[in-house]
Amino acid sequence: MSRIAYFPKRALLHLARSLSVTGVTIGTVAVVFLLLGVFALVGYNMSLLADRLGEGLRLNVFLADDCSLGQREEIRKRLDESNKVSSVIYLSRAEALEIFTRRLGARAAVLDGVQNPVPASLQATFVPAARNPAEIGELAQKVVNLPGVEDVQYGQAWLERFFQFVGTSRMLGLVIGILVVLAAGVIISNTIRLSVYARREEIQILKLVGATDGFIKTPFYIEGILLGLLGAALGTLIAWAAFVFLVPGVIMPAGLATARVGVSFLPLPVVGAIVLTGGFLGTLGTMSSLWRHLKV
Amino acid sequence: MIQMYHVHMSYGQDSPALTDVTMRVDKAEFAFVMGPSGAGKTSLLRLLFLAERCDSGQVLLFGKNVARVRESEVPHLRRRIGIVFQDFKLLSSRTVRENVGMVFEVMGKSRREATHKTNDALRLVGLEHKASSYPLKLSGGEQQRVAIARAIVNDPPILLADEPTGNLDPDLSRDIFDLLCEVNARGVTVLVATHDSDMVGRSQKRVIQLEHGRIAAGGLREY
Repeated sequence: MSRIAYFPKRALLHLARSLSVTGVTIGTVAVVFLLLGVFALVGYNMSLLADRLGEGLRLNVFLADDCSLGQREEIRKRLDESNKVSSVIYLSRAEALEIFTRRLGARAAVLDGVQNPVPASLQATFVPAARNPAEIGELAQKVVNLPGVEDVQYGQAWLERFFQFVGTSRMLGLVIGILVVLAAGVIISNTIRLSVYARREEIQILKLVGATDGFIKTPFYIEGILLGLLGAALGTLIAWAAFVFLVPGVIMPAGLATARVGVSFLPLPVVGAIVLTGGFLGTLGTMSSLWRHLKV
Repeated sequence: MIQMYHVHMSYGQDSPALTDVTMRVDKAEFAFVMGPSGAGKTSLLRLLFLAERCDSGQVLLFGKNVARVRESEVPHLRRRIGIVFQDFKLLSSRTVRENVGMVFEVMGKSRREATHKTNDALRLVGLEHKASSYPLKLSGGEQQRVAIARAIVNDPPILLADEPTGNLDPDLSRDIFDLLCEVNARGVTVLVATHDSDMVGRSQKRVIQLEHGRIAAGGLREY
């Protein structure tokens, strides 16, 4: 039998011989990765929401009634020079009134006989990197005192609260994610320790007949990697199943997410990365266990 | 084949296990290491199969000083040394054939070669018909034969045995001794640590006497 096939065969044999320990480990790692999956899912959808909101972010630079064409072009130039904006649109008073009237719909009659109350404005949208309160605020400060500018608005208060919420959630998710990942590593490490203990006699004999460190350790590494991969895959599968069955039936009608915003499951590369993280943790867990409990 | 020069060895802070041991066993020779419990017999053997390192002195196997050999070389040296223990050290979950063939697994040899050589070794120890049995189904003497088969299956030039008859009655001990002699007759250097004075008395082989970790007699062959 080739060496390549020999080690996985031995690893599978060992896992099969201690089926209950194997099952409990995969199950526990799956629960841990289910938690990780849920956090990743919430974080991912929050990022999507932030992106969608970011696309709609506008900096409205309201122009004074006496703003000259030269002043307007100077303001536009300042906005363009910042490298933060993706487009700048000029809305004349007439265009702005038309949009306002359209929004008022049936109540537009209130404007009858009233002089156009809406100022002309420059509306800037932002490149992805600049879609945050700090960048937008900084740009707003640069243009607010330019001649011809009456006011600058970008929904500061709610924007800052939302991004603060996203930032805190990300940080919390990261901390919990790290803890959860460490827990998975410890679980796998303990299982490998049990496996080393159960096979200490075999290890001793293999050493006596001339087995190298690699020969003895490789099956343990394969076991650890398999436990990590299978646990992570199972946990992610459960997260996916819960998403598919619970989101349309329970979460969406409950109003936690609106149909307009929508929620998505994690993209395939992220799922792949989570499962591979399981394998990586299996390697680390095995390494730590062998280092402490297997002096070859 | 086996040489030790002024070897000192201790386990941590304890009193030394071996002190100024100088001895030599020639190629294809059969020798015993004798001495009371705690005399250092097992320590001496452990040095030879590289389970321990000496504090000072030289341990030469096949002409190579193994006292300072790198850890990564140890497995390859062990493949040239067969080892037999009092407690057999067989895996109860593997058949006799698998226990013996394990040596080839470790060496990465082909299944064909492993089968062929395993059969030869089992034939030599008279257990070919028990190849598919599990060790716990065998008598103590048979288990020790399996251990000997495993120790010689890849034709090592040296065979070390630590109290190989310690768990066996006198008749079985005689069988095991005869088997070790047969292995020796094939050109293998055999060194046996034992308490069994009957076996030693019958054998007319050289005896290296250890007392309190020192060679008391027989360290060097007299010509």
